Amino acid sequence: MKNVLKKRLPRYLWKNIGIYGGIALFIVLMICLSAAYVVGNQGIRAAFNDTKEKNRLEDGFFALSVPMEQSELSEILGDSIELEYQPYADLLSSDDSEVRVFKMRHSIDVPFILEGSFPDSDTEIALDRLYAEAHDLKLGDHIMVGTENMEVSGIIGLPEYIVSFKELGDLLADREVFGVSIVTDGFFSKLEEEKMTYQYAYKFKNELSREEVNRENRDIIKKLGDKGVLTDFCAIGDNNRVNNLLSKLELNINMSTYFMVLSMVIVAFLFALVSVHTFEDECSFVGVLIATGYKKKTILRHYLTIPVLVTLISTGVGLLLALAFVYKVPTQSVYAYYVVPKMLYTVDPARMVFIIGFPILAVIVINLIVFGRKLNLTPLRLIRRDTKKEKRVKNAHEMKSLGFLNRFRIRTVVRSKGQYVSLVIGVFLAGLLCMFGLGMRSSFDQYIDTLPDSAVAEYQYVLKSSLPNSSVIPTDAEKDTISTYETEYNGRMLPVNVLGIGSDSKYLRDFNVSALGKDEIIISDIMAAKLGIQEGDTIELDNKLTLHKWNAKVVEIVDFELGVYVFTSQKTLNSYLEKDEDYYNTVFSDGEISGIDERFVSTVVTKEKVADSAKQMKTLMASLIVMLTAVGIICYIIVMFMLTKMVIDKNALNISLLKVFGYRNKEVNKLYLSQTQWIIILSVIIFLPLQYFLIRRIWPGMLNSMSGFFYFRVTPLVMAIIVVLGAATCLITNAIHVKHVRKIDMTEALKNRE
Amino acid sequence: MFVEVKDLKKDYGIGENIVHVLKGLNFQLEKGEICTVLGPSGAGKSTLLNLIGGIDTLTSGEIRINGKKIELDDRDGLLEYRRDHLGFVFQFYNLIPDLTVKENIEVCGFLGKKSLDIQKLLKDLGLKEHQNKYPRQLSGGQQQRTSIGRALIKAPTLLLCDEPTGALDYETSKEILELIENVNREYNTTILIVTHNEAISRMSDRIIHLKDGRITKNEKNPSKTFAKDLAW
Repeated sequence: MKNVLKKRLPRYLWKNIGIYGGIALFIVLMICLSAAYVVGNQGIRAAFNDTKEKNRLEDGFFALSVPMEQSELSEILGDSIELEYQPYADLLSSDDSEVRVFKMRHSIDVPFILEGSFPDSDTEIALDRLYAEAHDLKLGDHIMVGTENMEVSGIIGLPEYIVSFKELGDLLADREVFGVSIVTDGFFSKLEEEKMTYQYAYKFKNELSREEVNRENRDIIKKLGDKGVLTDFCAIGDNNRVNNLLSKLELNINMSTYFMVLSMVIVAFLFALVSVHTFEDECSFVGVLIATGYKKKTILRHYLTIPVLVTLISTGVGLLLALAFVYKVPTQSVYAYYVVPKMLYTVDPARMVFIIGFPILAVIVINLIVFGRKLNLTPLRLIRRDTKKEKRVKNAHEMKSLGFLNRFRIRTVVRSKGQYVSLVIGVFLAGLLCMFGLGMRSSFDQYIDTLPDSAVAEYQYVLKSSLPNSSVIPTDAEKDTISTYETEYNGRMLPVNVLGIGSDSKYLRDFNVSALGKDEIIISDIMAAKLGIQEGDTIELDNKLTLHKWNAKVVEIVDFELGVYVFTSQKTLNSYLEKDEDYYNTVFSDGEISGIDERFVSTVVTKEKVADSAKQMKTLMASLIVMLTAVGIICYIIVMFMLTKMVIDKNALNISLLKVFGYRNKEVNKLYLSQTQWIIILSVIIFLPLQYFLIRRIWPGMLNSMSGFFYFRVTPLVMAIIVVLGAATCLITNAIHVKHVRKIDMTEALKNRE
Repeated sequence: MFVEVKDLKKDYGIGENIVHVLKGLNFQLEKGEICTVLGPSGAGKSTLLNLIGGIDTLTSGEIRINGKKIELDDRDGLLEYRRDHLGFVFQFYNLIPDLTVKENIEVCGFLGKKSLDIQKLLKDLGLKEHQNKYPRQLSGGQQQRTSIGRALIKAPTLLLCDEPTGALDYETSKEILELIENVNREYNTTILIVTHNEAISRMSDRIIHLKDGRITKNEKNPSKTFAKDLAW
């Protein structure tokens, strides 16, 4: 007997191929792409972590005005840290690009080879991969470095230059103009002293806690500062050349995980719909089976077989595609900007179990709920299709004022309200996915468009300290103080820029910092949105270098799109940084300032650079954005198609009956299909604000790993695309289904109406 | 003649699997006649009804209604034919569950060029007080009355009834048959009833016996009985 039931399965599957095919396609797409992003990004993260370990990534570096002997430094800094002298010089190449030349390192920040070998002779050089690619240099090619014609012996990466920002504060890494390299000690010794930066990398010998690391770093700065030789310092936690990668990987993993969870909710919802649909279709058959002695368990297993198989196979196919091929897609955009070792193909078992297990579990649980409860009904009730709790049926309201057509439509909708509610929920969820995908793109676009305008001035000079000769600064330029603090955010420390604004501020005079108490601050709206802070809240800010802890109350939130910023008076900040009242380390100006000694400049931020960095960020996110947009749209279409099909299938026999009576297709459309279309189109439009509101709520969580933030913004065009896509899908689906309904044999329709 | 059926054949399937369901039927009905087609299951009764109803295609032969040939390959023509001339009553009522009694009747009233007065019809059918109920609130007999109302509202010239009492008990069946009789009398509607219940045939003007796709007997009923006097 069991075998007889099994024989039905392929036929049933074939009969419902539209619905199960749609779900299968949805699962394959969703699993394939989200798993690919997770695996690809995790693979790169694993490769980075491996390099960090094997190549001994530094815990920080410092630069001195004069070279010091290792023993002398050890004496000053103590023996808890390991040091390696890593001087460099920036040399011009023939195309005016700059090559930062390091000599070979052996114990800290050991370079990794990607192609070829490290230089053996003084005429050989190993270049970082992206610089080589940007200049079309291959192994054996020659490049002018300073005055020397060098042969490219290797293509390499440096663990502390995953992104080769020339200056630490740079926003943009342009490989056309800057790259890093390794040369022999022999070549290096021939370089002129004045071009040299005397840099040292260090590594703590013991595992330290975050607080201990901060304290140690502070000690290094203090000890070297006291000697008057420190010109630069950066702990690895603040090094954008390295951290930039990690936050980008986290962002990708986060986004695809959010996307996957949202998609899975839709899959679970679709299965719930299909199960109810199947049960309503087959309940009299189920009743007969139970009446003839079939066990409920057997029936349950029968109805679970197809959904479970479909889910299992499509999840498997999606995952296989992701693991075999598609994982390469997201890694390409990472390789295009970061010099990382080849990804280490790692499969995180817990995540894989989640990816495979969740859809299967969802389909089993949903089917158990739908069927399990209904199978407890008596066989007689099942045979009679009496499956719903019968409320006392009241006579219908006459709706005298309405014409027949409208009454008919309203009755159909009211009677099938469960189905229409499902339809509306489906439209909401699918629209959410679509808005998520399309909105990502428009958010980036708007971010890029508005970011340069939000820059404080045309030029911002970030200095390592106040200039010894401030007279080079024009009087109309503004001298402020900036420092980086940290605050706890979702279990990690988020860097916060604290800007101390001078009392005679020209650029930021709208921010009334002079009225602030010492423990009162103004924050940027970006910071408020990212951290979910409101006026009146108190936040704790930690300065890693001064170890100053600041419990500050937010008294105002101001529009400032440039990033996570805290504003206070320059006087207050200087006192917290233990500096003189007239100390400054950043200058805002409308024009370029000539005459500033370059050694004091940490970075120069221009509006153009800000715009370029935003553009670059978009390029980096391009494949993810394309994936989310494409999958969002495809899933939207699939879900809309299936939902409309379900509603029409349900009414197929009634439609046939009307045709028996002599209804024309146009009239059938008016009676049965037009309200579905209108409900879908209206829901699509009505839900737009709700979907927007919801995504805005979860958006900060998605950008969790970014140190910055930008708003989720949807342009009217995106809204229009969502509406047009929804309406077009609905109309096309209707047209396809109507064609199908037309083919239903009218005599069959009559036979099947028992 | 109002209905003329000439050498009507209907096959299902192809090649070796071909089944000859109707094997050349010939008969005629006069305007206002009640005709009962009797026969066991599989005789081809419903197929005959579907062909006359224009919802199935014939293999060969000809059907003429009021002198006009039904072109079964003309979808639009068929649709207009069903729309303007036919009323259907089915064994299982085929009411639309979302609509009230009145609205179920209006479904066909909406189509008719000369629809009857719905309130009068509801009263005639004994459904006046049930007009705002849904089908699931009605008894089988009331549902079948509704279905008859739906067929009559557009004043069809030909009413096709497929086992109209097949799902009803004895008393209710008689009520329905009386109603059909009244319709015939009041509106002079030609009625073709398909049934396997011989007793019903006694209320008709003509009885056609169908067996294995052929007419075995086609006779005028010499002793037409009122529906209320039928017994089985």
